[in-house]
Amino acid sequence: MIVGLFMAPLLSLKPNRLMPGDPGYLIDIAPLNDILLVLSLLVLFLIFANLLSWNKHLKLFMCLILSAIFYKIITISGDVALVRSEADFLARTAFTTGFWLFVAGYIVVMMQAFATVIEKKYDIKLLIILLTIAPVGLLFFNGGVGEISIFKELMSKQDRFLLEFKNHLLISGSASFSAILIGIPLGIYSFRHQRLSERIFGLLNIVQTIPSIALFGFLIAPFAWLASKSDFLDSVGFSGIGFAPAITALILYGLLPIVRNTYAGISSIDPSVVESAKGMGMTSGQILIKIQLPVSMPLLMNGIRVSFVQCIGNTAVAALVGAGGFGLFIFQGLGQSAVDMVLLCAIPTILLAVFADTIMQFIIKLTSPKGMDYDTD
Amino acid sequence: MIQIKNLTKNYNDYAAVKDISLDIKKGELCVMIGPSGCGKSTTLKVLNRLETPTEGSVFINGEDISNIDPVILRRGIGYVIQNVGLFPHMTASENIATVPQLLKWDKNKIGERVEYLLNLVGLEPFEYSKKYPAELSGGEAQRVGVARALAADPEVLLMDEPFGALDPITRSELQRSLVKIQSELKKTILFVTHDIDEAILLADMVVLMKDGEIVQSGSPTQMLEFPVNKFVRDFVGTDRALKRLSLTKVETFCKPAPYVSLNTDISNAVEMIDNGIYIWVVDENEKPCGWLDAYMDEPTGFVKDYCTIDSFENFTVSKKQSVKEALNKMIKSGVNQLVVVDGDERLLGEISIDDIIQKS
Amino acid sequence: MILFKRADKKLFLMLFALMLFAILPELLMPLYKATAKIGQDLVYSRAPILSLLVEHIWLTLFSSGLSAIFGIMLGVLVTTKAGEDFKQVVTMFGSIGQTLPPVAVLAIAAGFVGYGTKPTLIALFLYGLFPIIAGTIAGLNAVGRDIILAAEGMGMTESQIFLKVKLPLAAEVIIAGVRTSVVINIGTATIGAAIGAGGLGAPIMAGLINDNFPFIIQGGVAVGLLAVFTDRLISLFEMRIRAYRT
Ligand SMILES: Nc1ncnc2c1ncn2[C@@H]1O[C@H](COP(=O)(O)OP(=O)(O)O)[C@@H](O)[C@H]1O
Ligand SMILES: [Mg+2]
Repeated sequence: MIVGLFMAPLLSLKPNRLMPGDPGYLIDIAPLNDILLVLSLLVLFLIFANLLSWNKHLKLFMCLILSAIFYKIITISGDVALVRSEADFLARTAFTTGFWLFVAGYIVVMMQAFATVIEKKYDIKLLIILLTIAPVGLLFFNGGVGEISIFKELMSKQDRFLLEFKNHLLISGSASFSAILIGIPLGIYSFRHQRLSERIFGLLNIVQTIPSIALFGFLIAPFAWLASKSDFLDSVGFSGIGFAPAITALILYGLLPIVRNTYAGISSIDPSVVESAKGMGMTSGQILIKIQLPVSMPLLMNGIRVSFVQCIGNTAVAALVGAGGFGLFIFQGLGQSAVDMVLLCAIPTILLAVFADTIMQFIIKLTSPKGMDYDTD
Repeated sequence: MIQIKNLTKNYNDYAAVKDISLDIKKGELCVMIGPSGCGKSTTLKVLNRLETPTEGSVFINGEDISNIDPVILRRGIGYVIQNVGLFPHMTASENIATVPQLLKWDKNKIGERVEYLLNLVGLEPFEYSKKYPAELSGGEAQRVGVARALAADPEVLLMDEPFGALDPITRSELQRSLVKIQSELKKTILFVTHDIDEAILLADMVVLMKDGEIVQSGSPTQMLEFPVNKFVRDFVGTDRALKRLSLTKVETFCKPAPYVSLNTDISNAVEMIDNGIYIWVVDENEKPCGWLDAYMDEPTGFVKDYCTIDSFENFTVSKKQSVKEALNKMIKSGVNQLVVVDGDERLLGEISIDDIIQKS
Repeated sequence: MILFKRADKKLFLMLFALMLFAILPELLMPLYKATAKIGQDLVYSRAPILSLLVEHIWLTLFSSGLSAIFGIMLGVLVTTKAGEDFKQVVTMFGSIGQTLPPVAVLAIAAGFVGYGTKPTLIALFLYGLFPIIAGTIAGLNAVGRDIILAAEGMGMTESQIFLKVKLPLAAEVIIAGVRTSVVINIGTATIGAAIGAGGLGAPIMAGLINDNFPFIIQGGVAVGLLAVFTDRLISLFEMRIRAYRT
């Protein structure tokens, strides 16, 4: 982290959007008192980190110091960007290796702090999360930051960005939703027909194993053929590229975790529980609704979590068959070597996946029946 | 109440139950016993239609059960199994309330019923109603299992080795609870076990099975006294005589015994010692409280000055206790006779080890 | 044993199909003819499928091999007394890492290191690390307390316990982690073609861009067979370990 801050260039000072820039080291670009401030904060942090080694009460204080350093670095960068773009409006100032190394270290330290908080202390955990993202939030109050390349990129593509964001959510949401609608009954079906279940799992396993991009590709021709054969399908926008093959492939991908976990959840129930339910006069429908599904809920929801998170990532690949979403910018950016554009969408994709994962973990906790401590992993 | 007529059940080609017939009267506890794999569980499962008979039929209350919708049938029959099978995501109360809810009982009625049942099976409702199965011990879980089976007040109860998985102490606690519950509710119970002591303790009628067939059926005493063949003899064990003692009540061997009160003059008392060794002493309520030894040097005064008063529970048995328990007490206390009391703890007579040995 | 023999035969058939197809992609010519647009090339000609396959295998093997070495080492380290402090953060790292979309990781690597094989290798290495770390920690954690206690009671030293008890018992779960990692990496390496990493993704990418379905089939069939074959191969290995253990 410290290496990143001082040894590697913090910013890349580019003459324009696409040309490579000159390295800008923190020492060179920042005013002296800012450097001193950052340095003294760092020293403070190191003293705490080493001497007091993660003492409970100082953990929060340390996170605060680190958070402050992060904020300071961003504002320094913002100021530099502002000055440069006032001088030459084509000039771009971009974050580079040093900055990202710092961010990586920053996240690791914050995670370490987070991970060592005792399980039940939700307020402290929340505080750490807030401290971690606060510097980014504070950015909006600093004029210069808008002049940093990646944010400039965001401003100039704001509408498209929002559109693809919506697309991304729409595609992965509808694919996941369909996968749930198909996957749960399929899981129940495989439990009830053990003979067929082997085949179902064999097939789904192969689908999961085939690289996503190949699966997307495979679906193009059949879909194009279908569209060419049926005027109706053609008229509703069904074609070889776009939503239809993307969503189909995503659903196929999403099935395995859901089907597998539904099956595993129901199988994990002690047979005597089902026998006594039956002996008490429950119909098989009642047994499913009142016993089997609720008891397997944690495992089932975990399957949905894996499926959904995976789907968000695969949706980015779906852009290759013209489905839209963040993947569109990522691949476009890669094609044009426009790093900022790539990052602009790759980072939100990651955040989206991590966010979805967190939300799902939370939902799993909520929907797990009381009285059972399940290990969902 | 339950009639099984020529019941045969085949799994593929294997005959698990072969042509058995059985009548169980209303309010009777019938224990089905036999080595594992002899078809006990299968027979039980035919009764609530978890299995379909290959041949033969079963009547409950005179109605052929094959004409009753299995779901309806099962709601009217309590079913308790060895592994309990409590629903892990429901509290004890919710587990017990399951069938009443299926039957759409009124909410208040269900609440009252659950509380009554928890008390009945010996679980304090306040403490246990909100507990989840994971928080219960094996014995507590099976108590809830029994309560759940009794929830909708079924006439018939099927119990498949319900106490088989419990440790001996917990098992005998639950057996005693079951005896108490049965004396209160008088259900018609078909109880499966492979433990002969459990069978003798609980049964009104015992049915001994082997390889899918009934070898012998009858009262526990009959089974012990007149085993039909070597298999039955072996199964009930070499200690048949002892087992029978556990079925015989103390009153059978009780004979009158002289006694004196605490305030009797000692010289009168000594005259009353007719066996030449001792005489029982009772207090003003005729409750035995000690004995008087025959060997005394020139006694004067009252009985209470000479009476040996010990912790006297060790020397008394109730007439309703089994002879086996009386024997246990004699051995523990190192005496040859005990004083027998009636329900009001008044002296009734005595029981002696010689009489037991001679008469049984 | 019969089960293994049958599985082996299937595996061998798959390998044979893969090799045959890599050498002679023309085998599916009727399919190409049926799906190609008029005037399109029918067979990807920039590089033979076989050499792309070799490239692909090299990419995955190299990166996954490194991931396996580092991942297992890290997983082992944090489950020892010395590394206990970092166990939670590394576990968290492993599980969060698995939620990261591979495309995004690849794209970011390209953003920093530039195009070609290097960023792909870095991304594959990093991305492949997570399932292996998670698998190693899970596998070692799953070894029962009483087993370790029994081993201690027999007078085994810490390193003996690790080598003779923990590692063999955890091996199955660790290998499962490696399998996940390798299979994911085969898929991610395919996307690597978008940043010029070569491999079997190249014909697929070319096909997608030029709307040339035969190219997609050539890359897709080869990479699909490779992935399924590898998955089966490592599963077989897992099964052997399980059978050996019981
Ligand atoms: N579903 C089944 N399929 C095949 N055989 C069975 C089945 N259930 C029980 N059996 C066989 O029937 C015989 C009697 O079983 P059971 O009634 O469970 O014996 P137990 O007296 O121990 O309760 C056993 O030999 C058992 O293997
Ligand atoms: Mg049985």
